[in-house]
Amino acid sequence: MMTCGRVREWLPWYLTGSIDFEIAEAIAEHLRTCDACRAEFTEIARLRHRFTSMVDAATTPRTSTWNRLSRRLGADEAVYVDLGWFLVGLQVGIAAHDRRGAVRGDLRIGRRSIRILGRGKGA
Amino acid sequence: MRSDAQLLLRIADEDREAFRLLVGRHGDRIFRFALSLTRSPHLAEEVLQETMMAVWKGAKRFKGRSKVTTWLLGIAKNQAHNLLRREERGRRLPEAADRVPDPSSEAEMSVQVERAVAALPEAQREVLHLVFYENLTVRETAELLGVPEGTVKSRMHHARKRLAEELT
Repeated sequence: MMTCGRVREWLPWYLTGSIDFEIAEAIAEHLRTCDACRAEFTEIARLRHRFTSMVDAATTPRTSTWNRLSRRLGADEAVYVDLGWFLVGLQVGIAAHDRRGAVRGDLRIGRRSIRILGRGKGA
Repeated sequence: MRSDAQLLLRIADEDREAFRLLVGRHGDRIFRFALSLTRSPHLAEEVLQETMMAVWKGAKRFKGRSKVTTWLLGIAKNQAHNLLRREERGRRLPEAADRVPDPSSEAEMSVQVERAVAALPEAQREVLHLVFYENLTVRETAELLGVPEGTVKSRMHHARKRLAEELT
């Protein structure tokens, strides 16, 4: 039989179900006969409800997260022209880069990038 | 549908579409956790941005020892801590008390909870969020925060005690 102290330290995880089955069983057994721990459990459940409601009510990002990330990933691109889709699963575009004054261009086909202007290989 | 772990494998290979999917899947979760830690939507957005950039650059480091969500929240926690340290050195952090109260009782209750949570030490706020909102186990929380399991239970106990005092 678990003591009240040990039961109470596990109650938040008993409430969320994030606990081993054996411990959950022992707590359930204890709560059947202990009014004080049952009251504590109800209090924790109320607190969790208020906390999760507060978090749920929070505003999610106002700016488009993906657009900002996308800009950061392509920070070295001076220009990218999306030429659209001409076959299923194949996206074609041209990216122009300007690194330290040396302009280079890539032809993108899907995830592949082929250097069409300047030195070096595409990604 | 690809699993999170499969997406990370592709991200390690610089697959932007996989990255976009992962951001779409977990962006809100990371933002809400960051908001619990920073208490500022502006800072939370910054944490989200930095977390996802760290994932883009470091997807190879995911070894599958934890769930992807736990790994992401761990990165977000580190980013939030770094940002908060920088902010503490610079300007004042926002207080929940600065908000204009809403006259409806439910909204007023929500402001009370926000104030009480905001008054908790950061270490207690993060445990509260990970346990109550993310439903992490004691072990997962301890691993994510890099502290013993007993510390997780103790922080949870103190957070609950302080909130009960503030909200009754």
